[in-house]
Amino acid sequence: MIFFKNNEAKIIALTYLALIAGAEAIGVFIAPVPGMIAHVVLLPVLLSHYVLAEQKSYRRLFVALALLPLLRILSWTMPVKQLPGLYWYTLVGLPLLTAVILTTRFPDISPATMNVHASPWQQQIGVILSGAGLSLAAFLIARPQPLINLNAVEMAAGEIILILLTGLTEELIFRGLLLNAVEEIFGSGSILYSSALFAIMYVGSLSLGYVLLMGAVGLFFGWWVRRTGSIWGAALAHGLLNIGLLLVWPFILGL
Amino acid sequence: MTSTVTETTITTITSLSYDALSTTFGLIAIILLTTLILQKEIMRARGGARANLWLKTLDTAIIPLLVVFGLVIIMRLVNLL
Repeated sequence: MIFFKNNEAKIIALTYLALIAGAEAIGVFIAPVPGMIAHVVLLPVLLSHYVLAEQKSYRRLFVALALLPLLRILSWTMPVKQLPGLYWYTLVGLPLLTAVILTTRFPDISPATMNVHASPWQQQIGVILSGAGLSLAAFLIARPQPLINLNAVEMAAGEIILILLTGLTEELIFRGLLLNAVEEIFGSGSILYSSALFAIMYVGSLSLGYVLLMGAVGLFFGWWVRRTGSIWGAALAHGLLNIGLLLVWPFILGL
Repeated sequence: MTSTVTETTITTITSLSYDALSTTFGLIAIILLTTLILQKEIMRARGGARANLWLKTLDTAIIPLLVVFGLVIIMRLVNLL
């Protein structure tokens, strides 16, 4: 019976992974509008599945997965061409972070089930600093344009936005909610599952090297979060990765 | 480049006018928002043990989508002025 239950959960989890990957692939390789429609269909299906699967101990997985179609819907509707690119991250990130915070109102989700635990900084400093090295690798592959003009105010605003609304928000979703929710289903394979979804959400970068790097980053952060039980180090490292990629390396190596 | 703002996002947003964006992506998001609000009101009217959970669950998507709706309206007004 336990074997059957676990298999059922694995099949459901892998089916949703394939559907989210399909929606991303449609949006990137066919056209954005059909991709958006696929995500729009998936979002209420996942939310309804959460409510209807009340007997299933793993059901918070559906809420974690629902945040991914929501992420993509926001990323296609919130950026405004007339605003500088830095503020696009704010426009997408703020409602997404709001959705993540709202999930803590559910009976089976709390900061503890999102791996939000205190952890000594001495333990996390190594993984935090790894963000700087990873940002150089990411820059050398993706070569993005600088996100800001080179001045102190924009640099400070950019650092806050990228740490809170990309680093922290994405870690709360992938290494917080999602990793914790699939642990019951896949055990140590949960890191692979959350990393695969993390990499899939980067398919829109249109660079295989970048997608593979993000998959490896997901595995590394996932391993670290599972080892320490805290997302803080990974969230700061993720923020540093994005700061290096979009605010620092383009000025040092890209001009 | 992050998972929230990808190369595809940048290309799509910069290659289309706001009119085109709001009548495709914006409109689809508003239809989704309307559907979720409708579902929420149906669940509220039905009541029962699950009603409270339905409301909380649907709010997770409704509240961020209300922000999208607000932005679409503001940008349409800005474009009109």
